Amino acid sequence: MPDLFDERQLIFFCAVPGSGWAKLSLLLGCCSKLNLNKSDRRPEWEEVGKTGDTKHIFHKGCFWDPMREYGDGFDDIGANYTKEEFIQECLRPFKEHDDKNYLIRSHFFAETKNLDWLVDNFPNNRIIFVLREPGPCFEGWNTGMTFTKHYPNYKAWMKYTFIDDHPENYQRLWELINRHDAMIRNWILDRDCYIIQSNKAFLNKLGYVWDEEGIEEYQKMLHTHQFHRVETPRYDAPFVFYNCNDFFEVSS
Amino acid sequence: MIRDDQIVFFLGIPGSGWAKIDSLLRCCKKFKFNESDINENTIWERNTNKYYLNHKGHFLGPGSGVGEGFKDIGANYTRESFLEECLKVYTDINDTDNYMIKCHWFCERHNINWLIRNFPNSKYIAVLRDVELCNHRWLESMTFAKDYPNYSAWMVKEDPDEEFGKHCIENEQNFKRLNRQHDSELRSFVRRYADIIFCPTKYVLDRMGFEWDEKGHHEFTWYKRCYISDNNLYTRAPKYETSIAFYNCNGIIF
Repeated sequence: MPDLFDERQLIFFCAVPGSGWAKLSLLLGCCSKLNLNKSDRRPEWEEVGKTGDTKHIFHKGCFWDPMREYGDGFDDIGANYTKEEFIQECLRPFKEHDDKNYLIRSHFFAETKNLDWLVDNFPNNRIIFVLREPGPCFEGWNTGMTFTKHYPNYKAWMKYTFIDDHPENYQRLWELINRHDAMIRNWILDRDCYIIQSNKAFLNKLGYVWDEEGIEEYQKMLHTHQFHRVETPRYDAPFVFYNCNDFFEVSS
Repeated sequence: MIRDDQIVFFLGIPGSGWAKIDSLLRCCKKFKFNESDINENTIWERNTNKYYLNHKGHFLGPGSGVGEGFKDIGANYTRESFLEECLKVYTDINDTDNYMIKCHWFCERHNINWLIRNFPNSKYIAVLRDVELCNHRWLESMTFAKDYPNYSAWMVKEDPDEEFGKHCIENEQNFKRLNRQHDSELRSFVRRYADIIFCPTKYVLDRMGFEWDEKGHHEFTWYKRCYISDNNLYTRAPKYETSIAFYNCNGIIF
C-alpha cells in the first residue's frame, strides 16, 4: 500500500461542475511551487467533451466522486472512511509515489460535513477551490458534458440514471450546483482565504513553467474559459486558496 | 512636490462598486491614503431596498468640476498640468501619504496608455465587475445629474424628470454603450498589466493592514451587504463578484 511522506502532500481541490475547475487544475499542474504528481494521467481518462475537438482535452487524470471508480463514498467521507482508508482512496489512482503533492479533485468535497471532516483530519493541508456563479457553471457544463457519455461520469448528479438526458436530471444537477456553490461560499466566508484570479503574473508567482505543456494549457484556459464568447477576459472563476500561504511570498 | 509613487490611479466603471472598494482601501494602513479630499460636500449616501450607496471623497472628470478635460487627457493637459488638476481636490499635500486619483474616464484606452506612459512608477488599482451587473446597479440606484457625483457626461439629452431607477431611454442607452466600452478597455489594461487580481476578503484586507475599528467594521459590513447573494436560497455568503486588480503595488499584499 502506498504511503505518504507527509500528510500535506494531499491537496484537496473542489468546485462545482461547469466551473472550469478541470482546466484550471491543469494550470496548477504546470506550477512548480505546487509540485504535483501527474501519474494519475492515462489515455482513457482524457476527455474533449461534446465539441470533439481533440486539441482541447480539458479532463485529464482522476476525478473522485460518488458513483465513480474512485471516491464512491465521498458523499459523506466521515461516515464511509477512516482517515487511513480515505488516504488510500486518494492515492489509489496514482502509479508513482514519491515526495510530490497529490491534487485530489472532488466536487463532493463541497459538502459542509466533508469540508469540516477534511479540516478536522488534515488541519495543515491545503484546500483549493474554484468559485464561479451557478448560472455560468450550469451553462458551461451543458456546453461540454453529458451525464454518462463523457469522462468523468456524473451519475451522482442524476435523478434517473437510466435516461442520460432526462429533464429531471438537469434539474437535480442545477440544484446540486447551487447547493455546493452555497456550501463552498459559506465555508470560506470567515476563513483565512485568498481569492485570486488566474492571470499570467499570478501563475508566474506560483512558478508556472512555460514549456510546451504550460503554453498549451494556458492557451486552452484562455480560449475556452476566460475568452469564451467575449473579447476581453471575464475573470469570473477565481481560485480560492486555503492554507496555501507557503505558495506565496507573504509580506509581514 | 509629491513623488509619482505616492499617486494611486483608481479605475472602475459606474456601478462596479468602486466607491465601496475605495472606502475599504482607505481603511488599510499599508496604503495610507490621504483623506483630505473628504468634506461635507463630498459625502453622499442612499439606501434603496436593494442597494446601499456611500460616496466619499473626490470623483474627478467631466461634470464634476475638477478634471473637466479628462475625456482626453493627452489632448487637454501636460503631465504637470494634469497632476496639478488631480491634486486640486486635496487640501493637505505631504510626502508620506498616498493620493488616490479616481476617475471613470481613466478607463478610456487612450487615457490608460497616456497614464502608463507619463506615470510609469505610480500605482494602479482597477475594480472589475460584470458589466451587466454594473449597469443594473447604477441605473437602479443613481441619477445622472441630481446626485453626487455628477454623471452628466454620460447624458445625451436633458432629463429634468429623471429619478433613480427611471431614466430617459437615450441616456440609458448611452450609459450602457459607454460602460461596455470602458469595461472592455479596462479589462484589456488589466490583462496586460495587472500583477495580481483578487477579491477583497477579510483575510486579504487584514494583509493590507485593515483597521477593524468602528469605521472599518462599518465599511466591511456594508461591503458584505452590497455584495450579498440575494437570489440564492442556500446562502447569505458574498458572491465575490467584484475583483480588484493591482499594478505596481508590490509589497502591499505579497
